[in-house]
Amino acid sequence: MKKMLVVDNHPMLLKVMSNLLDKQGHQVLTALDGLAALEILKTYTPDVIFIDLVMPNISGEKLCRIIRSMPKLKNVFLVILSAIAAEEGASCADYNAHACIAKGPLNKMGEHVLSVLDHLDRGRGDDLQGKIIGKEDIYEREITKELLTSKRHYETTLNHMSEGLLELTLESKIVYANPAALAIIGIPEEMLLSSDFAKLFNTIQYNKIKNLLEEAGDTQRTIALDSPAELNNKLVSLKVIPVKDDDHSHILVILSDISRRKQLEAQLQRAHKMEAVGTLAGGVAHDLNNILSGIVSYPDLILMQIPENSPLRKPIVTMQESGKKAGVIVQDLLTLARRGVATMEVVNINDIITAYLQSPEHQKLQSYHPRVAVETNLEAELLNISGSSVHLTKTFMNLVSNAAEAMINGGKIFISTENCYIDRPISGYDCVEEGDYITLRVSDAGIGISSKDIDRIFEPFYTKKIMGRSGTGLGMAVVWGTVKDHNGYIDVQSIKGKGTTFTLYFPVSRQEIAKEKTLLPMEDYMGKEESILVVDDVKEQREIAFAMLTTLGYTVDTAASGEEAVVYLKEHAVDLIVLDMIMDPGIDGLDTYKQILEIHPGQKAIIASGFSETERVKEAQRLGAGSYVKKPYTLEKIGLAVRDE
Amino acid sequence: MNLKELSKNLGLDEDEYMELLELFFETSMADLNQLQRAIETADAEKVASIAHSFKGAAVNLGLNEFVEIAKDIAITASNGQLEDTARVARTLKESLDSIAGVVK
Repeated sequence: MKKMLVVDNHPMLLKVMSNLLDKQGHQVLTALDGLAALEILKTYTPDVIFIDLVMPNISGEKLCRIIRSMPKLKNVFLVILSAIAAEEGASCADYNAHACIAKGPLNKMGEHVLSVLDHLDRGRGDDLQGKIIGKEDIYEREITKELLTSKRHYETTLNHMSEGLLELTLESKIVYANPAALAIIGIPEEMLLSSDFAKLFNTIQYNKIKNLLEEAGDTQRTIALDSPAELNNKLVSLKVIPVKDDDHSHILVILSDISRRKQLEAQLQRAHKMEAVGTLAGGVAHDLNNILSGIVSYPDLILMQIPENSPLRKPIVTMQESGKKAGVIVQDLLTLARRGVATMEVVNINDIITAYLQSPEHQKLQSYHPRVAVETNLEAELLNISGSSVHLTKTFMNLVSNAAEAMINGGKIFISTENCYIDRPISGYDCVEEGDYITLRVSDAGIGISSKDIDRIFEPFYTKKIMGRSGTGLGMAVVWGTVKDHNGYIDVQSIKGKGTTFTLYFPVSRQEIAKEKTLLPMEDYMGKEESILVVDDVKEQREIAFAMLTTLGYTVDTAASGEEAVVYLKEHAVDLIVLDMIMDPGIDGLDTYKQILEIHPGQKAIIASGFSETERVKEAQRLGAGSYVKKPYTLEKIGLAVRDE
Repeated sequence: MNLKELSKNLGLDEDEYMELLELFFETSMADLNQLQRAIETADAEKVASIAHSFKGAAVNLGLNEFVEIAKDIAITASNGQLEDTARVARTLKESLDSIAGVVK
């Protein structure tokens, strides 16, 4: 007496087999499909299982695999009942079965079944391998061939889809999952089939998913999850499609991995935010620059007129220094606007680090944080990068300052540099592309940054307002802007309570560092009474320029707007024009220059502007204008620019 | 329909055969309904699937007439001649009706 299980979707065949095996004195259970079979197998361990290959829900082939993967059924006798096995040209081994009986007229089938069981009894089960018993009794093959071709066609489509597709019963049991779905879910097929789909998700989401499935089944409408769900460490979107057949209703689920898309969306949003703030900052910066000119430029002139030992020297120099410092902050704002004029030279980060650590600013920082020590590990043969040392120093200073502040009870700040070749894009806070880079790493063992904040630390004023850090609130924004202007990337890793590491990647430049430029004596750039026209809408600017250029030995005239300049030049000729760019409400520097060129083609000009180098400046230069001098400018800068023309 | 002969060919006694025939009849009537719906919706694949299952059972019981019908259904469906399939389905209905009396 043996325990049998027969799985076939035709009730008549179940009856036949049941009768037959019953007569032989065996215990027989039957199942109409794979799902029912698996249910039965939960509590029943048969000695022999007969399986029909072509069944709805879980196919016979899949059922065989699942059964073989179940430990208690590893050695159960599997017999395939099939009309198609022969056509397939398959062997029992393909299904991991012991024997294969072709379906045919009952008497023959009955004989074959008994013969197979007989072999089993006599312990010669393995003899049957590879034989398809009853092959000769199979009739016409056309029908099954059609089915097979169609099935293969769909299978190919399903196997190559990039989205995951699952088929569920109304009770949410999985009867099919395509390769993409298996990849997303990360569970082998044998274990996934016939399990509950909703159970794949954690408890919080379980109800959400279950409700979704029920709603789809009830309303017969396709619905999608309103927000992505988490599955196997990925973010996925779900679309549920109810399918109604006359004999059964199923639910299709389309599963898409959208983790990457979400990441890109977040990055884009961040970039937009920064841009918006930057534009605002840029506008403010322009005005400030103009005003600062007074404090930066006049002292030079005054200093020239007072004796060397005058007690007025010190305060005046201090005034100028203050003005310059303010100018630097404005530069920060302009950097945020991403339209700051950064003079790019070939520099080496190691030099910048070393210079900074020896600077008075760093001494001051150390005095505020006496229990913070700095340890460096700089790569000796560090490659150069193309950058602005002023901005890079500022960036580095901000990172060190933040690191020191993070360690309230003191600690070590680790600074390291390294040459680095990235051969595969790294995905972290930012996505680093392939190429040659140098990395600058600043690490602290401080309070760390929570994951909630980490997305927003580069936002202007976020660190000051939300995180209560000191400083202008623009420090991190400057770091971000500088790294971006240098075509680099930032990675931030932080664990709250443990510490933070900033890793900056800068693309390598293979050029040499240029020699240092020294301060030139004024005599080198004095003029010889050449005539200059200064065009600027702001009175103070005109006065400053007038004063400076006259001191330098030029003959200077001024015009308060582009239109005035054009009118002036109709009557006069000048050797050089100093042109401001933005002169609202009149025409700007570019349009002015264009009109002037019509009167005096080849007219020499230089551009002085508080705003940054934009398309219009470049356009003017293309038309023939010379250098661009940033306001506020010192005597030396304007002198050199004029002389060069 | 010669029950005696059919059952003898299969080595079953008449009662047994009758039982199976009843089952066959029931399942086939259900198959016929599905078949008609599949033809209406021009679902050729569904038609082929039904035909396959139906044929299997017919072969089991040695009912050659029904086996032939099943083949016809499959062939017409695969050729896309669903009007012909519909015609064959009518034949099937008639044949099933004729054994209805036998099966009670």
